[in-house]
Amino acid sequence: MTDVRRECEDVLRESPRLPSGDASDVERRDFLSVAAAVGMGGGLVAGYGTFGVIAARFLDAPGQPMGWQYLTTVDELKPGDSLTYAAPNGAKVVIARQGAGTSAEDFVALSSVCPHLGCAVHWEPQNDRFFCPCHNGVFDRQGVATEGPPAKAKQRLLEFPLKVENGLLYIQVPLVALANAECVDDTGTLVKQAANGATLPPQQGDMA
Amino acid sequence: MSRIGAWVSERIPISGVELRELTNEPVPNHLKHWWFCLGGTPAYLFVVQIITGILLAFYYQPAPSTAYESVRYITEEATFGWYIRSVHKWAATFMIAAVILHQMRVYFTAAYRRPREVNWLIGMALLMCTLLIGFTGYSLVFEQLSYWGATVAANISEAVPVLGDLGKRFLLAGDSYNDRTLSRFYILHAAVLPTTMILLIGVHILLIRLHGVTEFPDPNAADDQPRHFNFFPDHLYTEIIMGPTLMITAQRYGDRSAHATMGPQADPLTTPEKLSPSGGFMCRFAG
Repeated sequence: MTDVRRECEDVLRESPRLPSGDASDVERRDFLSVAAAVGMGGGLVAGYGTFGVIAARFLDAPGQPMGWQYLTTVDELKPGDSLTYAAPNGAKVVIARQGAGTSAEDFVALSSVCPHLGCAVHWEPQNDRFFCPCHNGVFDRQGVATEGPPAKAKQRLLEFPLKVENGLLYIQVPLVALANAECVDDTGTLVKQAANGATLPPQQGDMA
Repeated sequence: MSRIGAWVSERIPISGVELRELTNEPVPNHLKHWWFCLGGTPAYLFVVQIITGILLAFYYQPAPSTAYESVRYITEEATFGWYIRSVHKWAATFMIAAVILHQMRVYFTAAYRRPREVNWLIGMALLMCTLLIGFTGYSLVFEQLSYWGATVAANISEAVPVLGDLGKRFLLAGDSYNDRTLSRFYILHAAVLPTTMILLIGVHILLIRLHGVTEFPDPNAADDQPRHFNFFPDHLYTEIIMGPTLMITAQRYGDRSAHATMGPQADPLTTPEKLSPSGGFMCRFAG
């Protein structure tokens, strides 16, 4: 019996030392503390980060709804002529016929808002150009800047899509109106007070 | 990293030790119970309301002709608009409930007694502000219930002796609901009441720090057991857990199945058949 006991003691003495209970507890506690901190921190960052993304998406407003508006018949607008159109949101657009054909490619619709700092450009028939009086910006018939700050920045007037259907010319513009936006033609005459979604009649102008 | 730390500490000369000393108020052991965290809960929800409220204000237009349409836009068209509005609505409802529960806790544990009477009154003022901000917020939707609820509430306030008539006229910007009323509700909801509440909360917290948190001794606690624990980080962790829990709950209510909806647009000529808010004043006037 005594021999057996001694053998057991020898085995225990020679076996690798097992970690004591205290040390194991400390290691486990450390691990759990770090894991909990990482889990909580990650959860907080993920949760509030997701909310931040949602808030950013909420503030990133989509563009205004666009729609096709009737302008005129193709025959009414002769090659070289133009008309001024007031979009429902109050923006003024110049539509010019530049070809003898009857497809949309024979027309061009340019915004009258200068891409430099937002002033209103006007057509100068005697100079065959659009002119912005704020900083002497000049644009050719196609709306490409040729002089002034817009030319240095290689800007051009915003072009609106056009389409021809059954001999009728349509333009795609924002449909939402600014309240009480006043739309005037080249002569300063009030065309129409824009109302929400209203279709505004085109005004004949002279571009030649 | 040390260069960044040196740069920051040079410009903000508060060390971590000083900051810890400043915030490390001894917190009584009873605050380890969740029930006693009801003071931080409305404060957290108030921050949620400020953030979501600012987001909503980007689109909301406080005029009778545009209010309903702008809320409809937020709810139905703006990306995640339904979510932001729903969280705002449900967090408002929870905030009212949390403030009431907090006041009940203070009352039933007699924590309002000398020398803390002033803080109790500030708490009651905050409760009134919370109810009023909920009421004005609900009125901003400009649906039938908003309009007629505001009308009824203003007429109820008229019944208050002496100041009632003045209160009604102040609230409605006239003798009855008119085209200047909504902008008045908006400025009360988004500027006057939040500013007042921020000031009151500041004084509330200051008085708590000056007096210390009321002791609520545990009769079963051993004599040699510490009676306090540290605010930082122990109690702060509790509050940090509370925050996401509230957000998750608000989002659960704010999801597609229970998100903020809209009733018919306000019609001054037709009082709806069912005007009494379901669920009582607290719930219906909180969104």
